[in-house]
Amino acid sequence: MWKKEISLIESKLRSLSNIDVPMELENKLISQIPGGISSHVNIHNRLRFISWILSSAAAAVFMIGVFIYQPARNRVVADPIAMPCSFSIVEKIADNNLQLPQILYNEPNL
Amino acid sequence: MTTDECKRIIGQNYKDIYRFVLYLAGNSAVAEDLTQEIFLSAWTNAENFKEQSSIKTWIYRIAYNKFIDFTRKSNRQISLLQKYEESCVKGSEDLNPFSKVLAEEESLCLYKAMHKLDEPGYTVILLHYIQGLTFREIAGILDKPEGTIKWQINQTMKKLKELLAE
Repeated sequence: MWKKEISLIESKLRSLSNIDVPMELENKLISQIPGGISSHVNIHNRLRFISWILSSAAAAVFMIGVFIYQPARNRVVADPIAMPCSFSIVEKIADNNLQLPQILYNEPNL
Repeated sequence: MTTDECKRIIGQNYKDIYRFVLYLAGNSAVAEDLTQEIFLSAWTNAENFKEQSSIKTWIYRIAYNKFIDFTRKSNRQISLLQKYEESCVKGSEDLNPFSKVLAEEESLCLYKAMHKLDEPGYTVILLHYIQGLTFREIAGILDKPEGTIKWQINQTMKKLKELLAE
């Protein structure tokens, strides 16, 4: 009996769904979609992609600076073979107590 | 999301969403405005849709949140029954979307009884019986466990039966 009453209420409730919807509503909703919305999403995606590219490029430049350029620079300074001319001049100055123009004048091959 | 996809989503869901909001707000003009806001909100937040739930559930969830925002802003709960009775007094039944479904005495009684329910009870009954959603879908919309929804519907039906017996 109880179940029967409940199922009667349920069927009555379901019948309340039969409501008319304004015909023009669908067109109004469709008119809201284009341009604005899809391009809005696209612009967001594009901006995100551009910022990703820029941050990647910045990171790459930083990595090159830290791991490639800096050790190479240190190696050049530390290695006398890499700068024979500079080191020879310095040695001459130290050994003979000469001024730099004199060295360059006396030994232009250096 | 392309324009064609948006059109398809509108075609599949706009009637259900309008009906849902109409039953919540009780006013066809408000329901129409809210339906437009709901879909606009869906497109602008399309990137937040994670496909963990169906698009239908997602739009219903937006609709329910929009209605809550609306009631907070307007600072009042619109009485659906009051609106219906007002329109009947004015002799504008034809303009009232409820005039057809509430034509029968039984339906009107049921409708009056529904309005004596508490808000959560009214919402679950509306979603399950009038909107035809499953327990799982309702649980997704209201962000509650499925078991809670089943229990809530069961309790509300008992309450509704008591109200109709009065």
